[in-house]
Amino acid sequence: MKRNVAEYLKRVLGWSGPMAVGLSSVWTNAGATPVVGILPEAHPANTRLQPLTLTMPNRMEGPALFVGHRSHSSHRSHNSHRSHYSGSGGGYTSPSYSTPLYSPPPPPPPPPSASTYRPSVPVPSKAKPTDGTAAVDSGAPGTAQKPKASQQEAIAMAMRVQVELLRLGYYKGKIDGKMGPATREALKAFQIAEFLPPTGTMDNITLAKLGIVAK
Amino acid sequence: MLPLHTRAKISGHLPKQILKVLGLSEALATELPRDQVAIFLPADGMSVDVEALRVLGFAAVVHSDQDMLDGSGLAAVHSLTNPAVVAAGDVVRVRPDNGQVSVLYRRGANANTLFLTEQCNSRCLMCSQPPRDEDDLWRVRELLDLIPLIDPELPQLGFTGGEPTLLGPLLPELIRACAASLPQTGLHILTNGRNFAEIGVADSVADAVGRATWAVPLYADVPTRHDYVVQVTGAFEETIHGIYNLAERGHSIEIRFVIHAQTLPRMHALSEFIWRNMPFVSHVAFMGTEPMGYAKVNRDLLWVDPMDYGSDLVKAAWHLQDRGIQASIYNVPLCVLPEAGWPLARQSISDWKNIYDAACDSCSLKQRCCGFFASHGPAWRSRGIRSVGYSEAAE
Repeated sequence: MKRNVAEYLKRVLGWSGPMAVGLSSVWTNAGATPVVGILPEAHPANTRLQPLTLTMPNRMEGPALFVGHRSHSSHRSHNSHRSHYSGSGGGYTSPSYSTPLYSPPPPPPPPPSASTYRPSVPVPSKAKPTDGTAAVDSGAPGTAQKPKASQQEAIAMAMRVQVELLRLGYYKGKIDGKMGPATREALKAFQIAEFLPPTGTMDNITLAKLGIVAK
Repeated sequence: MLPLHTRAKISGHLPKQILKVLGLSEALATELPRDQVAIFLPADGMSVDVEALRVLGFAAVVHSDQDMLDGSGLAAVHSLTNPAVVAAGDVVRVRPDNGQVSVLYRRGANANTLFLTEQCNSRCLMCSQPPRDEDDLWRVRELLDLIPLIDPELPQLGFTGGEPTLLGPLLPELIRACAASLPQTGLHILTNGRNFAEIGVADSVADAVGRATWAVPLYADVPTRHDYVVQVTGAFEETIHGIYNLAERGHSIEIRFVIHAQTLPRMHALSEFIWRNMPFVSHVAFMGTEPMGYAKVNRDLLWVDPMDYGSDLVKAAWHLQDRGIQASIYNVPLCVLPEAGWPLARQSISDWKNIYDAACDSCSLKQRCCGFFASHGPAWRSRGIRSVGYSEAAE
């Protein structure tokens, strides 16, 4: 017995003919055979715009998924692959239909020029300081909103480093919160002893080795 | 015994009177507001740029010599009369007017206690802290400043007074303050429990459930004797109602019994009473009288040589312990306590209660004995105080 699928769907679901045709074409693309008898009962409440779910990315793209990546396009195509049911062998009863996630568009990835560092947070490792110190970095133009707080944090961090270096015997000078030559030399000596690159800067690995947990 | 007060010279302007004293390393890492943190700089310690500390917003530096003053504008507490009183981790009150430095919280002390109020609605014959009817709400305000500065690792914090329920809604507020900033700290609250006879008062301390133990004194199983000891008619009934109201609301309760001539006649009957009627109590403490306050005045009314009540005390304590209620004996030296009571004898956790007699120097039990109160004198000395030899202790 051969059934007219488009007619059947139009009757049961109240869809318009062109939409139902589009639906069947999607199935064809996915290489699956529709099990017509199951579809209507499966999600009677979610008949609205179901076909679109199959061709659109149905997952929110958050910045956390793409940390450090510039190109999002390849990921988006993976997402849409996932929402096809190419591998499922035609089991269209899947509840995945029920959640068409039309999420608000994700926030745009941070433009490289504008600094998004919050003043009170130490510089994260991905933006490893190339020269100078964290003090120099956090005093960068991007943090101009609260320069005082960031400057305080830089002094506090430098003092903590000096205290630890003093305790370990690398530093003999005054605890003044300034990354002067003596402090930097002490830091380098510590880094060499810990088999770290002797940069003389307060990067995260060095801070962790000193027992200072960067907040 | 390290005193809690000393004098100091103060230079510069202190932003706050209540200050958390921290070593430099910890101060730089702390989450506390810096204007409540004073940096402790030991005399032989590192050389620190005080100006940088001022830039960072710290309240003051605490140090022993005067040479470090360099006119940076940062307040300094220095030249302490007794430098040992203040150490890193403590919370101190510094009075700029007279230079008094008081330790309100001492890190590492075996007992830290908050003094809530001097007011009380009882007048116990042996009260070691005679009440004064003065407006001392400033204490609560100070405690609310102090509590956030206490180390959150503190296992146990005492509330004492005075009768804390006389503070009305401020007692629940203090409990909530502790719950907020000291979530791991157990509270031990001394109260006569009388005000908890009122349902509303018992309801008001709901935040203490699971967090506090209420230590309620009960001196007899009958009203006449208990009311006489606390010098208030009707106190027994109120306290009993209060205990039940607290228990009904899920609170943990400790019964405290002070041993002296006026309570001894009902001691064993009270043990039976507690077992029969209050099986929910978590702890019963039998305590020797502290010769302080009213107890000194009423010495002749109260004094019994522990040699004469030792065996009765041990029986009363074991009566509860045998029936599944934890019992403890405090402030009775081991040499005057029958050996059967030694397993229940506790060393006091308070610094001012671990004083020893000359006879104790050679005693083999000194290490595990409670010793004496600091206020202990010849009038309160048992005839049985002696040194216990190793062979005798081993038997």
